[in-house]
Amino acid sequence: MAEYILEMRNINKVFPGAKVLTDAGLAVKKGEIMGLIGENGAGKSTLLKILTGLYQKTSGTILFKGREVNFTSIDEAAKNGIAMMHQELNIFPNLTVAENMFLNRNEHLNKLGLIDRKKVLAHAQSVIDELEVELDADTMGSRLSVHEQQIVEIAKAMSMNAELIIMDEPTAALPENEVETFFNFIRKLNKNGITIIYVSHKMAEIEKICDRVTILRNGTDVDVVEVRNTPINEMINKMVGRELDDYYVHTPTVNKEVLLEVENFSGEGFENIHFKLMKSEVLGIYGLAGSGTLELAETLFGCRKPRSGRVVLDGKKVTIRSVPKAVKNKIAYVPLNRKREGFVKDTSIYENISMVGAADHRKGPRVDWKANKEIAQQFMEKLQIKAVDMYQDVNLLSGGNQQKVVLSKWLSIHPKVLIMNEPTRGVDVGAKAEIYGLIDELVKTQDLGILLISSEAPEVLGMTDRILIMNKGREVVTMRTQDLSMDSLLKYASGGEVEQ
Amino acid sequence: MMQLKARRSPLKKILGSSSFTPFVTLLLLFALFSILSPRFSMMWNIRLIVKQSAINGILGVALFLIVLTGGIDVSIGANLSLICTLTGMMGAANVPFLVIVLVDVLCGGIVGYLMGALVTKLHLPDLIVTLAAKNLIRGIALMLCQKSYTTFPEEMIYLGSDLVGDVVPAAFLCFVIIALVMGVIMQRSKFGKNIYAIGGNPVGAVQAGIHVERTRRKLYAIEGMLVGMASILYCGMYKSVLASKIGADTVNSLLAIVLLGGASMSGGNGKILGIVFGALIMAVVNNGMILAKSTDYWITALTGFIILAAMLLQFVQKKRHQ
Repeated sequence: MAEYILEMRNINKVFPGAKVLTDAGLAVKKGEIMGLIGENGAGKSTLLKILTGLYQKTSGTILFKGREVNFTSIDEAAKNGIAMMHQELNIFPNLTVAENMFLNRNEHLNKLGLIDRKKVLAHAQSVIDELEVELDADTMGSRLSVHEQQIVEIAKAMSMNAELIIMDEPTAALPENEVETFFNFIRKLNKNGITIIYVSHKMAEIEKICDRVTILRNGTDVDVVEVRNTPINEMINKMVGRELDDYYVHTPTVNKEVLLEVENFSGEGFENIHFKLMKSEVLGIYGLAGSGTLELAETLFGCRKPRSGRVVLDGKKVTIRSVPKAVKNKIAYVPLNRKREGFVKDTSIYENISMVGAADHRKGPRVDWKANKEIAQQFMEKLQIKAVDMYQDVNLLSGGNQQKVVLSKWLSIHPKVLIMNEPTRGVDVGAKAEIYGLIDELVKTQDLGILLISSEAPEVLGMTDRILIMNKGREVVTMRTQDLSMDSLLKYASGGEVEQ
Repeated sequence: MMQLKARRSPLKKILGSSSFTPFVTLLLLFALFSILSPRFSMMWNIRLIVKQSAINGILGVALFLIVLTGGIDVSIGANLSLICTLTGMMGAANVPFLVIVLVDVLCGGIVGYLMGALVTKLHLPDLIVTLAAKNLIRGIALMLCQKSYTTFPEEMIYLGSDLVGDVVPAAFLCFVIIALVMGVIMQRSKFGKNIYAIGGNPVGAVQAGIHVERTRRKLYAIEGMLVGMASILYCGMYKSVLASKIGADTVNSLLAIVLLGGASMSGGNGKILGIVFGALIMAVVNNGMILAKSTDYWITALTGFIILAAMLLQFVQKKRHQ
């Protein structure tokens, strides 16, 4: 078994109220590039955080180079030869490359305990030169491109004699044309004997760069496959799991009446978006992180100002440059971050539900709280919000019930367009199914259209009539959901060519 | 794919340094006031200017440490008045000089550390903590200070008022030495680089294994110790201590010094050398305005204007950078 540099066995991790990892394992051979895939919440980052000492495991064994280890800090992991490249790069813009690499380290201190700048610079430069990259170690961090920042992170790992480098979505911030350069670089590292764990959502990259792939699902490693012998589809199926297919309920719409029309819509983070949303339609908007779906949603809702474009709602041109304006036009938004943007914490359920519509029900100049409470009560029953009563604090509800409160708030003003951004993130499976049922019921019974923004592929495939796929702020294609497979969805979302 | 980035030439390094603008500003102001008033550039006046830069200079360095990590402390003036009062009381009781120094520095360090603990351990907002501390400390100082104290050890008066070798004011020399030591710590020690890292990218600093909170606490303690040192010079220079007269609007002058010195309020930028220039600029402005026979009101207004102008300049530079 000496060929394994890292073996994590039967790792369990319990957070208060949630079991995140159940007997998860990860075995990496020396000198390979091991892919690690899994849906959001499958436990990838938890597993890696346990490895690098950011979290402590509840139970399980970790063997590194055949020796049992249990790191308590990133420092300790680094000293033992495990380096982590974070998704958000940690370059200090106000320090030079060399200073970035040797920050908080005890090498090259002189007798007085002061940093020997010449030695630091020379050492940093020699490591960079060894990587065969043209980069001056005296450059300020603020002047580095994303690719160069990655090189600095890797050079830092190399200077600490890292044998295992974990890369978490390393290409997330990288321009498309630099990805290949970066891959060549990884291959070069790999040839020099560095073992790599490569975490990514982008299947095309996994296929290109990895030798083997460990697939995580619901906190357990379901399989380890050789990339060469395994079609992408099979990996995705294993990652998603068959049983998920059942709980999406969606009644396709036949309505051809245009509700919302968006033309030439541009703003910060997205360019030239066109789409039409029919009445009682669910239009999915799908894209990987940073593809502009969030910005598009927030701009439609008036949180951000559009640069140009035309928005026609119910046959009338509207200009939405603020949230009140959006609400006035009956556009509702269930935001991405429920805790921060979705509800007001430390307030009751009924106050949250009447947050937007309270002033619509008045007695003379006063807000009619009795009427508002009645409405809140109705929604609590209709959406089956599980709580003691409507006076209960929203913080105390489960994620799914909180989301229903957010939904009730918007439904109480009878929206025409309901934008939902990752409505099932951080919601348990049972509540997910309920929310899906609710979405289906809404489009069937209410006079509205839904824009469903999600980065969960099965969710958009299961819940929508059509899908607008975005990549790097631009529309790749809009297709009927029935014509899309998981494979093609992921391919288009990572910028793949559309076959006609 | 990637082109070689040319090694920065020494000249470019100087031009790009955060201390370059303050240096040029200082020269320009010096030239301006020399033209406005012939007495301005006389030797005795220059001595006066550098001497007057010492106290606020040391306090500016102290504030800079906090600003560098993206924090703020508005209680420095109050802390100064408290420690000066203590010094006055000890001086009146004929406590030996070295004991006074020890007590002052220790007292400042403790006050700073306590504030740092409130900010970093309980995660209370630094502006509010130091604002409240300012009132609390000032209140204590006013209660303690029953009269004007005027007796101080000889050594203290020498440090505050005399010249070294008939040339350089001792107070300025103290300031330069303190700035030098702090400069070396900031630029050459692991601790100093960690502070810059915290200011530049707080999240990254945590992930680089830096104990961010602990480092910030230490910084507040060092800041307080520097205030203790400034108090000694203050007592030696003015030879009279009345708590109600000390440090009432010190924070504005200090902010002006820190911003003029090239630091930004968001943290991560600036150097001790720049702060020294910043302190000299403020001393030049004060002195020059007085020689030009303008009133105190003008100086107050000008200080406010300088803070806004410095912020505006940084804003413009940032915009251009983007």
